[in-house]
Amino acid sequence: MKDQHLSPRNLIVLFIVFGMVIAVLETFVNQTSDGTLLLTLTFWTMLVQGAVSLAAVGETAKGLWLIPIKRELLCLYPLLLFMALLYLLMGMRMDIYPWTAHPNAWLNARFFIVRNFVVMMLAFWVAHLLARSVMRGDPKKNTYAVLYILLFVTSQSLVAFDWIMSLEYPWISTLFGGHFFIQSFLMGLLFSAVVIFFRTRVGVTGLTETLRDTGKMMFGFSFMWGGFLFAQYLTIWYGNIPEEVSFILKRVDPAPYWGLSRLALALIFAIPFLALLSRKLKTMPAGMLFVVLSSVVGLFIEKIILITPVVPVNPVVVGIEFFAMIVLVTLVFRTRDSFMPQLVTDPGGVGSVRAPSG
Amino acid sequence: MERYEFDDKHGFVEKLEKLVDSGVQKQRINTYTPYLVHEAEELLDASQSGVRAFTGAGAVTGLATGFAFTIYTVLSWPLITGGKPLISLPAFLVIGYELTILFGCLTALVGFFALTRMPVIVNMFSAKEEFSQKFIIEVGDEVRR
Amino acid sequence: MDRVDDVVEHKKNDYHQAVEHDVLSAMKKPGIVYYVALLITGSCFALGMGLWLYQILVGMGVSGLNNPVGWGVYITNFVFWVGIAHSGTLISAVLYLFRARFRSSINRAAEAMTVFAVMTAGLFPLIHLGRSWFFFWLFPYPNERLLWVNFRSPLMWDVFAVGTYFTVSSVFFYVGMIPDFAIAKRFHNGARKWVYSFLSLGWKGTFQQWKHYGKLYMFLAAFATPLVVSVHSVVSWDFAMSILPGWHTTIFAPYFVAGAIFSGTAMVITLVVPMRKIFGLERHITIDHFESLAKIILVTSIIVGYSYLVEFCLAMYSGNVFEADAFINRAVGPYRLWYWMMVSCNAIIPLTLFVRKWRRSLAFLYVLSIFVNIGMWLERFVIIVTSLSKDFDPYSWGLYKPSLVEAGITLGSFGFFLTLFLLFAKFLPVVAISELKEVADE
Repeated sequence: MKDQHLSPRNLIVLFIVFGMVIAVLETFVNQTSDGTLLLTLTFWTMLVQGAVSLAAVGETAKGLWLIPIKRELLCLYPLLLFMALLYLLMGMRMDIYPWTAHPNAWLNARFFIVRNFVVMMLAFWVAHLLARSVMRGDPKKNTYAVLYILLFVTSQSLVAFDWIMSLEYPWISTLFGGHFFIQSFLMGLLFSAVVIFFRTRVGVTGLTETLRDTGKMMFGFSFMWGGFLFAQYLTIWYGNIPEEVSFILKRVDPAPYWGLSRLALALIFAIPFLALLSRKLKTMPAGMLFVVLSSVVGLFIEKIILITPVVPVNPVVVGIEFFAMIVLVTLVFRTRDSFMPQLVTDPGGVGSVRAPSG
Repeated sequence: MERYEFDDKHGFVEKLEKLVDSGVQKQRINTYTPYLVHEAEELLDASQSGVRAFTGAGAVTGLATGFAFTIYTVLSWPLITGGKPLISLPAFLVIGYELTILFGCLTALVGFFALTRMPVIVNMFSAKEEFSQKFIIEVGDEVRR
Repeated sequence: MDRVDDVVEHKKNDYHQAVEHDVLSAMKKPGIVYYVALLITGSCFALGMGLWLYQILVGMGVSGLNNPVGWGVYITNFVFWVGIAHSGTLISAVLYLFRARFRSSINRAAEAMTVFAVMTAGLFPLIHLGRSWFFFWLFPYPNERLLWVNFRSPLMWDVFAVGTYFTVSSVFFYVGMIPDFAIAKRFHNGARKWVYSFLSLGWKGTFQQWKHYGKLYMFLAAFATPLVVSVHSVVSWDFAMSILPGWHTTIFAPYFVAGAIFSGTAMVITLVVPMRKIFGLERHITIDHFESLAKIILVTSIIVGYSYLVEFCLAMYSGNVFEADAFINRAVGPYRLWYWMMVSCNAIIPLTLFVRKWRRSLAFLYVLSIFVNIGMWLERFVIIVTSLSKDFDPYSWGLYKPSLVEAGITLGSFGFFLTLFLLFAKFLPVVAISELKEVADE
């Protein structure tokens, strides 16, 4: 690629260009399907925040297995800024929330936008400090990592409670926040499996152990995802309170959702569970890519199930926006050398030695 | 029968490598170690332990038992409680889950005893060849069990 | 007569010898401190048993339980002790899977704690039954009219969860000790040698034995991990399956699991600090190990704090008056003192562990661990009692005060648990000798 060296200023320009594209799409093309932007935001925030949080958790827990891909995970952090800016577009979509008719102290459009934007910007800023201190081997990196994890949990909880749950105000599930940040963390793991796949393709060696550990963690977190889902389902099913149950019934019973909900469960939980039981598969980058694909598609469908019963999405616009995000993530990832200098002091940086980026 | 004793792991592993390289039949070599030496496992017998098969079989049986048992009992005397359907799969999953783990663990233990032929009453009380901090290699005339 | 001292004379500098010596010395003839401790814990236990007998003879009226608060201190104790058990499994199984080396020095004590805590917990449903002699009605068999137990009842799930947990953690505890029994048998004579010989099952450390043993241990750890998560989830569902405000909430399962690990880890510190001192195990259980435990406490404390916050805020958010009132009642109602003690002990004081210096101070950690134990006991009390005392209909509201009998039986449960732990410290190898050797050689 020709733009191997993208300066931070060019990065900002790039963000503005992509942001404008999506803004134009949302304002002029997509005027009826209000849920599109929310879907894009929810899905991609999950990926970007999750990838950085995995690096942060690895940093605090002294996870040795993560070191070879730490830089690749951290390098997505500029996108946190992009997601925060993109989020501001939600300002014109506030009428999708039922509570806007009767705002209260917590649920009112202005505070809604401000609190989420502030938390996302803080997360970006701390992630920036974290990335810089990790690259320099600064001992302060632990503090930043802990701070980032706290902001990550807060931000993903707000994504769950504000962005998604309040679509169905006053329905509540207290585990919804936990469900979202576990999911986001899982997404980070899926991303790291993809990173390992591409790194191995360009000839980087010594990643088998990291891949196996990633596989184990994916197994654990997809199991945990299933557990969190079950804990919510069981409680609501058993209590059988009409205002609670309707949320679930709407999403597992009528026509497209009957199949979609079961498909999502299979893709996120059953298939990865059975596939990752195999020891061998966890050492094969291509095999792992299959599991990743299954989980990512599943997580996408899960978002569709959560959003579309309330607000419609426009498939074409979703396609364009997701394509734009894929391009953006790829661009940022491939030009990481320009804003993330090589790990200097990390002794275990096996995978990050002068291999060609890509 | 040849016998080598070592006080530390390094000498033990080196000797073992030499023996295997010199073409001694792997099944004739037995070792006594104070803890699990992974290098020895790789050198002598890297095959999958049979405990795995026992565990898997137990776990699947446990899950099946959990569901079969609960469904059988509600059908054998159909009694609605708490406004729940007779066959309440979410509730029965909890029982199935616990039994998966219970059966899996117990069969793993049984498998371990079967494969190592433990407990051996004679070994329990014999003074000979006690478990110690020594690393020992024995090259026997017969094939190891 | 013990041969421990003779052995040490020969090779004092060899680490393998030293581990064996230090750990097995703990099994020598105990000193006066030990007997005094045993006397105290034993008396507490006897008192508890006596009071239970009194309750059986006189009736449940001797406890403070009545309508509307039918669940009180006994159920609090049940949840508390099951929770204590959890960190044992966490330390021995989860940390094993994550290959965290620091576990080797404390996993034995933690596993013992698990088994004993589950035993203690198991007593409380029986005590709470009132007609304790009918406990076998909980077993899954058809009664004389061929009606089976109700598998849709969370209480039945409890039987399966706690039963499985007790079985599996006992197996795990025992399997881990097999090689150490084989060592212990070398160091003893007479009857104890016979017992250890029998328990060692003829372990010799042959190639075959170790190969399958490694696999067995791995599988047990792999099963214990999802098990431990399910057990406290099931316990939390005893509450969450109802529709009582303050109980019926989806976050309960992970929140209870985190709380269980939180309180259990604190209990490990409470028990291991004196054990290490009395038996002179400073060389094998170091400050670094305690710091790692402190970090577990910190993380789980944050999760518990997060849950408090989310529960409270979402109750306000929902606009449901019953839900909102249940939480306001906790904070400013008749049980507010206990509520605020719980919040400070569980969610505020442990945050001091962000300071590295305090994480590494044994005295500080010890005091903190006691606060956490108190806080977590109160948490269960607050959850159970406040919600029951004030439900939907003002006509049925009422307060609950534990009676002296309940307090005595609670004390008895601590006596039971500590007595078992003291006996463990004297009769079984308190540190995993074989594992320590392996870790030392790496």
